[in-house]
Order: sequence, then structure tokens, then C-alpha cells
Amino acid sequence: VSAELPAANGRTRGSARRDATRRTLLDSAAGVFAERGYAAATIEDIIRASGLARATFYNHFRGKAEVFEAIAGEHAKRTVPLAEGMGPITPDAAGLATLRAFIREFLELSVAYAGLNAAFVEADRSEAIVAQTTTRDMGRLNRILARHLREGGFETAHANFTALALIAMFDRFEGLARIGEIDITWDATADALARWTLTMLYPNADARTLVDGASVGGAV
Amino acid sequence: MTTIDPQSSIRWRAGRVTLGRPAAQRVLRPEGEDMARRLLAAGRAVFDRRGFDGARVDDIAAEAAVSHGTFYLYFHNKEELLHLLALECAEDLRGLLRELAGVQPADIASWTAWLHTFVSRYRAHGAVVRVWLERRDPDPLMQALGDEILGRFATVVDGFITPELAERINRDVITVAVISMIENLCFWQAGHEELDERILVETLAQLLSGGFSVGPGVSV
Repeated sequence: VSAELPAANGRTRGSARRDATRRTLLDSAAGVFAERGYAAATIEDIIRASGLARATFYNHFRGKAEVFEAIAGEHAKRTVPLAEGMGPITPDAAGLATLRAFIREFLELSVAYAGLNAAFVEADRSEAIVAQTTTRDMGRLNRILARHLREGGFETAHANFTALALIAMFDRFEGLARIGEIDITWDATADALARWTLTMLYPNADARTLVDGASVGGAV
Repeated sequence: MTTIDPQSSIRWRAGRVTLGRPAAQRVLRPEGEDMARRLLAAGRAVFDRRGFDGARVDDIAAEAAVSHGTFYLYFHNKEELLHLLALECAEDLRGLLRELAGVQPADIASWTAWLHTFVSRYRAHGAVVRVWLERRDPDPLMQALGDEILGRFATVVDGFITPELAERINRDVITVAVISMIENLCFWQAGHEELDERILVETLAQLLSGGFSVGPGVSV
């Protein structure tokens, strides 16, 4: 054991250092993309912002598209588990609670990534590798949400399209709310957005349960 | 021909006319208009691919298969071209929003008809709308246009909210949610032709008409 420990620790330290360098590069790149957009940002900008050597950059990434793909991938790594953690989207207090919790976290991520909106659109349109990643991640999110809809009793021939429409709504909401300067807390927003979502999905459900929150009780 | 806001100070240099004067005063020759159209279409395509900051005048000239010098016969710079595209887009959106005001909000067929028009027309404008909404340094004209169009959209959607619905769900959240869902889904559809337009429109129409059917007629 004692003979192995130094090597194992050495590897761990080395990989921790490598992770930290990668983190620095990703954070610097995110700052540059937020400031300049995707197309106008250069690798030189990213290297300068990171304060690291040029060779270090290429030690981690092959180019601009790969850095951006990594950033997009991190976003997906945080959104997909949120969806996986949801319960069935039922037309009752439980469905409302699970939807509200998901939306609250989703909006928080939107705020964290807000500066990258424009760069996301550019990179998605111009780089095949980024487009593939976002299409794959969106597909995963979409399938998970569609499953929660079906399990919640939502009946339609196209649950996947309904899920996509809801994701489109959640995804754009923060940006338009910011431009529209709507004056309401994120908690209240998540609650209202969850109620609106259930109202659209189940217009014939018992409105007292669904919208008035009468049976939601302590969950509000 | 493009309808231009009379207050705009944008000049169309070919023929040395000021756009915004009555058409009778224009001295732009037909071939000049054709070339301007071609450059506008090229600008739209390049903004779509590279974003505004990443687009260079050379890219736009190459896309239109004309020389760098030809571009400058028609526009001072890419900002001016974007302004023209935005004015054209804004005029088209004003028309669509006037039509939206005629939609019966609880009626699925009424939404379906309007959404089909919106999807097909938005395909041409999505890139301009994003450039215009996401710009890091919005100029006053673009900001005023954005505020005006979003304001019109919001006013129409807000008009669909019944008192019963407003009592239960924050109306600003509903308005931003509806605009988000329609705009973002149509934007995605423009970039992903594999998303079946008919199913997408039916899905949106079902959700929207369901949501707006909450009113005195709904028994609870």
C-alpha cells in the first residue's frame, strides 16, 4: 500500500491540477464569448484572458469550437439531471410542485448562462460539432420531459413536440423577462410559470387543484 | 418594396436618396434596388451564420458575389444594412401582430391559422431578431424597434388573458411565457427543418388554446 500511495497521490494531484487549468480556460473562454460573441472571439483572446501559455490551451482543446462545445456540454450536464429528478407531470399538486422545482432551477441556470445566449445561437448555427452536441443534449432533455408528461397522464400523439414547446418556453423566458424588465421574484415566477404550464397541458383539470393552489397546501 | 419608418435617418446611398421619403421622390433605378435586395439577403444569411459581431463586410460581399467596393456603394457599413433588415422585419412583424389581435384565444383552429403564417414568415427574420435582441451594445434605433415590437406582442397577448386567469396566475409571466414559447420554437424550427411544421403548429395551437380557455365558461 505504502509503495502505491505516492504514485496515486501524484496522479491525483496532477489530474486535479489539470482540471483546474481546464476550468481556468473554460471560465476565461466563457467570459470572452459573452463579451464578443462566438464568431468574433479568437483563441488569442481566450489565451490572453486566461493568462496561460498558448501551448497550455492546445494541450486541452483543439480549437475554439471544442472549447465552446465543452461549455455547452457543461450546461447540459446541469440541465439534464434537473429533468431526470422530476416526477410525473400530473394535473394536481404533486405535478405542480415537481414542475415548479424544475423551473426554479432551470431559470437559475438561465441566469448563470445569460451572457452566452448570443454566442450559443452563433455557434450552434456555424459549428457542426457544437450543433451536434446541442442537438444531442436537447434530444435527451426532450425525451425525459416527454416521458414525465406521458407518465403524468398527458395524452397526445406527439408528447415529444409538446415537451419541445415547453423547453422552448423555459429556455427563452429569462432572456425576454430581462428585456421586458418584469418585476417579480424568481420564486414567484417559477410558481406562475408552473401553473401556466399545467393550465396549458390540462385545460379541463379541476382548476381549484391546479390553479388556485387550494389543495397544494404547504407545498406553495 | 420595403416600408421604412419615416423617422429613420437611414440613407440608401445608391441614387443618393434618403429612405423614408415618399416613394415618388426616390431616384433609385430598378437595377439598384435589385442589388440592394441581393446585399440585404446576403447580410441576412451571414448574420444568421456568424452573428452580427462575427460578420465582416467581406463575407457579405462574397455571399452576394459582388466586390467589397460594391457593398459600400449601397451601405455605409454593416450596421446600416442591419438597420434596414430590422426595419423590414419590424414592418412584417407589425402586420403579423395585427393579425394576432384577431385570433380567438380559446380556439385551436384560430391559433393554427395564425401560427402557420408566423412560422413561415419568421423563418426569414429569426436571425435578425436575435441579432437585434441579443446585441451587447444595442444602438438607439434597434432598441426602440425591439421595445416597440415586443411591446405590441405583449399588448396583444395580455389582451387574451381573462380576469379569471389573471386572478390565478401573474399576467406578466403568462405574457412573457407565451411570447417565449412561440418565438423560440419558431426560431428552432427555422434552424432544424426536420421539425415537422404541421405537428409543431398543432402542438403550439393546442397548448395556447388550452391555456387561454380558462374563463367564466370553465366549470371548477
